[in-house]
Amino acid sequence: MELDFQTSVDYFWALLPEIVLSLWAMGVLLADVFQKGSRSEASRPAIAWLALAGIAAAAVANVWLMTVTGTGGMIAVDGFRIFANFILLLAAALAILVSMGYLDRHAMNRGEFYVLLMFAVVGMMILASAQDLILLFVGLELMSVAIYVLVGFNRRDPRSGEAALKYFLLGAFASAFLLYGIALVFGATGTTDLALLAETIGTGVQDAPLLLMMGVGLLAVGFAFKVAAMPFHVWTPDAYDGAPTPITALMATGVKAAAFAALLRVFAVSFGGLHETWVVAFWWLAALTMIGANLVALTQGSVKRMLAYSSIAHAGYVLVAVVAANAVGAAAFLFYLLVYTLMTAGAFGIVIANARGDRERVSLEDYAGLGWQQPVMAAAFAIFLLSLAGFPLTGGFIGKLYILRAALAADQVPLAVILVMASLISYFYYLRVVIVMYMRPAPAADTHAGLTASRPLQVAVGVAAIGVILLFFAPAMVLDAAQGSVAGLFIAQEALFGLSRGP
Amino acid sequence: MIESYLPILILLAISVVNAVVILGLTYLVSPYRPTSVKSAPYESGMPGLGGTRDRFSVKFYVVAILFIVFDVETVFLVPWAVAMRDLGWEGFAAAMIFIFILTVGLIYEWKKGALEWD
Amino acid sequence: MLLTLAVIIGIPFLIGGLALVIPRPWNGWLALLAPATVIALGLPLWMEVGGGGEILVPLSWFPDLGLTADLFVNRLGAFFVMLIGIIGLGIVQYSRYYLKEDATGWFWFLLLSFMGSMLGIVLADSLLLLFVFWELTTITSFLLIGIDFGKEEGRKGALQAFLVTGVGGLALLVGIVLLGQLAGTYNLTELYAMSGEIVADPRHTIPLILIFLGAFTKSAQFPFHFWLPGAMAAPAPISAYLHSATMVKAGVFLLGRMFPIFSEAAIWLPTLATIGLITFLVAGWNAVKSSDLKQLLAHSTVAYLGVLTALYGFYARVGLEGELVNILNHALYKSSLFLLIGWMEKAMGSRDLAILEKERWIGREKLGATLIGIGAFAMIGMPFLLGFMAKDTFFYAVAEGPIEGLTLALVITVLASTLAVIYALKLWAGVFFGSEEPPTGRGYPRNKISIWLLVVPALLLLPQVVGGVIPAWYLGQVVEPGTTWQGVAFWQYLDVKLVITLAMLVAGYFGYRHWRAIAATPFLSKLPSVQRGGEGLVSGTLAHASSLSRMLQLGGHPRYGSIILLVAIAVVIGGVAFSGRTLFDHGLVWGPNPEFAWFPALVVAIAAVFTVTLRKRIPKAVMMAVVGYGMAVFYVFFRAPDLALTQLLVETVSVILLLLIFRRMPELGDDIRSVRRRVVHGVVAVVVGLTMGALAWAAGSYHVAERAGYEQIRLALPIAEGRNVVNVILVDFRGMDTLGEIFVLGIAAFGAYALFRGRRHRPAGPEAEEVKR
Repeated sequence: MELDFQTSVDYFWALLPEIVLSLWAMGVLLADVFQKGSRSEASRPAIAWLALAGIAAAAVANVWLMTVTGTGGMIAVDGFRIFANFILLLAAALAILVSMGYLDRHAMNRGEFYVLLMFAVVGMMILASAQDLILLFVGLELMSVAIYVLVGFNRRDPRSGEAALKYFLLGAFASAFLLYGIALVFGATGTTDLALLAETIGTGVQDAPLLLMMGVGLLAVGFAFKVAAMPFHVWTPDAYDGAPTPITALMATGVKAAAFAALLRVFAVSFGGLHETWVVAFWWLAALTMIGANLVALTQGSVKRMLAYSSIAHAGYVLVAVVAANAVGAAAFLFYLLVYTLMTAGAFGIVIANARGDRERVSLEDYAGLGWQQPVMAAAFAIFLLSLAGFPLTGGFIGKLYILRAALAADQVPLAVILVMASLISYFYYLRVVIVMYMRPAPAADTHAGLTASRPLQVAVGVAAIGVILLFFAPAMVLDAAQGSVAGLFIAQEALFGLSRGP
Repeated sequence: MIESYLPILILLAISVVNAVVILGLTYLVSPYRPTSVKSAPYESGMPGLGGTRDRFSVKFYVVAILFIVFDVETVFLVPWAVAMRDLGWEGFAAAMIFIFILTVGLIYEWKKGALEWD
Repeated sequence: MLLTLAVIIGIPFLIGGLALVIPRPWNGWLALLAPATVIALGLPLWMEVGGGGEILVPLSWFPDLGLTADLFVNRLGAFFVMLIGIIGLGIVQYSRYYLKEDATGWFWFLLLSFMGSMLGIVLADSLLLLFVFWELTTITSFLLIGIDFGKEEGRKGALQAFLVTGVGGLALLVGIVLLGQLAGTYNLTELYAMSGEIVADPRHTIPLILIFLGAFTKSAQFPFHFWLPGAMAAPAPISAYLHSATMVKAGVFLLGRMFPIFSEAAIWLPTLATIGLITFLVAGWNAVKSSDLKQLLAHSTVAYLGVLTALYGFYARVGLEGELVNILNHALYKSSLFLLIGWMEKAMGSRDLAILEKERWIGREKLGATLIGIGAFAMIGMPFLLGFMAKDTFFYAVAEGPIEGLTLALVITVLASTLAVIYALKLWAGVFFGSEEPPTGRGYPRNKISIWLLVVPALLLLPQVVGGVIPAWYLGQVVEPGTTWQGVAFWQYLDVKLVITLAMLVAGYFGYRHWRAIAATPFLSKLPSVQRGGEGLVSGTLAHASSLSRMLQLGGHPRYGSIILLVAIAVVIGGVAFSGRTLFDHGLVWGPNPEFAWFPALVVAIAAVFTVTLRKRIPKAVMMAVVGYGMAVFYVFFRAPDLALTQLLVETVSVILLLLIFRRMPELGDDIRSVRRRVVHGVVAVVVGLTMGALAWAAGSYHVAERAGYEQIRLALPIAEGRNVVNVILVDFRGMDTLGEIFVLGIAAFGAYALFRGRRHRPAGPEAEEVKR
């Protein structure tokens, strides 16, 4: 199908996955309230499965979207969007799967949880595919507002409330910066359409008014906040730590991936002509993030918090791909987001599973001897941790290799060195968990007996683990798709993201 | 130059007069015989209990949010109704989608019990 | 051929996996099958390529990314396959009897996976595939070293080994990718073909240095030599396999793989010769100091790895044969010595020389003494042992090496070899002839010790003797099948070199007699330790990390907010500074009435300061109103009377509402923030405000988006028949809007009035009663 966005009907087709998901979410909302006898009753498991079916339906619509081409609208219809959508839907599906047992254990099984999650995903998808700064902002807010609520969803836990408040207050800063940035960009160019912006700006930093660059800078600040790049990450550890763990997983994967997708689209497509300037900013962000986050992660005693810092560190690695600003970098970017989503969601899944009742066992000592008493769980965790560290036999290795190559191809040697040094530091804290799991005896023979890994969680962790391994042994499928996806994105900046393939 | 501001003045006057008339009429028409009971602070038909710095029940906020939702709906729908013919079916569909979403919200609140006080 | 190679690499993994599920002792038997298969398949391979042939097996992985899984066998690779297989067979057999019930499925899995990874390294053609296996050996060896997970020492050593080799691994990765970037391929065979071009390109130095780093860390070269002795907590067979025969040789192997590409590089010879010889000397000195015999062996291993590294520098002179002889020599005697130390621990109850030398063990353990003696003599390089040929080759390479007159290298070699004599004698004579007194019989363990603990080392030492007795035929078969070893015969020359050799032996003997005194020499014992430096680096990093996290993770959102705001501002200011341009490149537009505008600006600024600093609510509200009114004046200057009007009304109403509410609220408490923090917050606020204000000011000077305005001006007369566009907009274009706004404001104003009036009547209510009470 060919869409030219002359009529509103075109928007209906272009937004089909989002529309399907929104309608489905409303349906889930109603189904939830209608199936309950009394208001305080917990939701039925079917609600969660219904939500999952909605994600699947959106994925089907997304598959259909592959047959559609369209230009000129406020929403992009391209491979990049479709690939990003799949990542986001995958993150959502994993989050729903790991939520199922978790919500029951923490006595907060409410249908609204899943509904908000789905709306958040709609926001993410819009964010990742907006072709207009205003729509991008709408997507961002749709996502953020739902996530603010989800972070504070555990009303009994004061830390959850604290996390929500901090995230909200600081998130408001980020939104303000983003909005101010959009305003300045609009002020300097007279448009908010990404394609028109690219045309207006042209290629040449010399001609660009400084006001435009200030707008670009503020946009970068807003995005840096959402992807939690240092030093705009300050909210992350507290928010990730306090939020219900499935939401932490979603924030670390979906939210971050969506913000990154939007970042790449805006900066590569619209501001591609100015890349000499913003690459400098992202260079520093990437370097700071990689060094700082990894150093701080070293000192964490809580595994959940360590994973929070690890997700910050990984934002730094992805930023390296952005800085590389070449075709390899763009494909590496998508590939890495996919691997990252799998391994991070999986790791948080294990954190959820290593709990008894409503007490999460997140300190390092709680993992002692897990390798012998819960071999499958520990093996899965080891896979995720090794993948996060970038070891061979895991997709994390291919991802990091890909980014490294992109950076070196772009002659960003210092950044590549920082990436490697940062990875090295990260070995220490990832491997520390592995060591504790396998080399430190458990306090008692039944310390880890009867851990509460629900069946859906097992499925999620299993899928993630297999995915991480598969991405090592057969990366071709996904890499091809990733390269194909970015091919359509940068037509305007062919020189920048010179679309040649291979080394 | 000055006369061109006349329409604004007229507009201002209309709204001021409007407000004055509404409040003035009640002042003129209603008898004024205050008793201690009548002058008591009005609190939903109940005698006031305690100071004004009390915490309010969260239910008030739910009602307030409900009000804002429908207030916004009105703000959107009135101009839409005025321009409906020009907007055509496309506009109609857009408004219907908007109303549909709000309706879903209303049904949810209804079933959730937000419309009941207890 | 693909099948053969795949089986060689795959079978250890496969059997390792099976060993996890098959119970003891069957998994031990099964484990023997893995190295046996490797040998059986490796032998024909060696016959085929040993003479110089090459086999390349293309295997697709992801060619677009340059990721291929091509396999490649040449002489060096096939030699290592055989080495890994033969030593591996001995180790597996030894482990079955040494570890007994400790040889769990997990152990076999790790050991055989390690073996498979090593085979992967030596058979990979793609450097990326090589790296994958390289890292696998790092992980599996890490787990193997720390397998005795009860011991704190084991964990620490494992971690240290892991970190050092991990650093090297990452350096290697970057080096490989850079090399691939430079050459356009990751495949060794293709790289060999273009070695001339690569070396001609000056950019080859950085990847080469990084690859050196990878090799040096893995092979424990100076200054990374400290991890290997630290990793000695592992059981004897693991140490024997990992730290003598295979893993540490991976670094040397990598140098061998790189040789055809980089041998002409300017830094090749100096780097390898320097690092190798320094390692030889430093590690030799450490071995002399060691009392723990296993530590001694570990240091001596490092020393020999230095020899092997240096030899690659002098490679051109002695060729691959010289290198192979040395690798073989070391693998054979060092693995058997490690295994014998394991036997010694079981049979003699200790491996500490300070304890062992108290007894004359020679009377009781003749077989063990003989075997250890052979090993120690091979270490010294005594005639009629393979060690002699090896040492001879090395001396030849150094003395007659490509750098003429490199006396220093020769001096170091002689010195380090003398040290080798000392520690070899410690190991043998020290243990077995230690004491003059008759045996006491104290601490003699009566354990039943399997004879295999001696048989396996004996079998591994056998080639040492055979190679020493009939070197020409034997070495011919070993380093190049079907030929006779010509060798190099340094010893043939009956000149000063022979004298040096004899002097070395004599000096070594005297050194052995007084090794404690030498080790305690104040000057020498105070030498700086690299290990302490490394540990200091790690603990320093950790300390910095925790202070960094304390700084960033204090928890209060005011601090978080300040960080975010300040950095954002820094981005803006930095951006301006970086661009070297002024923000006001469209001129400094200070509104349409610049001569008056400074006044409201001043008022707004002063009022804003008061809003923040005053400590009472009502004055705060009033000051806020002043700010708002000041803004309204600005709007007037900017010819936006409707905005000004709205602003005035909103400001008025909100001030009234605020005042009414504040009257009923308690006063603000004292500011609990410290002065310092208040100052910081103040600075943040001022900086952010100024920057954002400047941006807004700059934005005001741009006139890009006026389309909507022009449209309204164009339409004002024809449609609304008004000449004052502002009025037309207010009353016609946005008439309903304006009416609504005013209406709402009007009602709000009356509401405020009602609030005022309500206060007058308050005393009548029951609330007043409460107030009275």
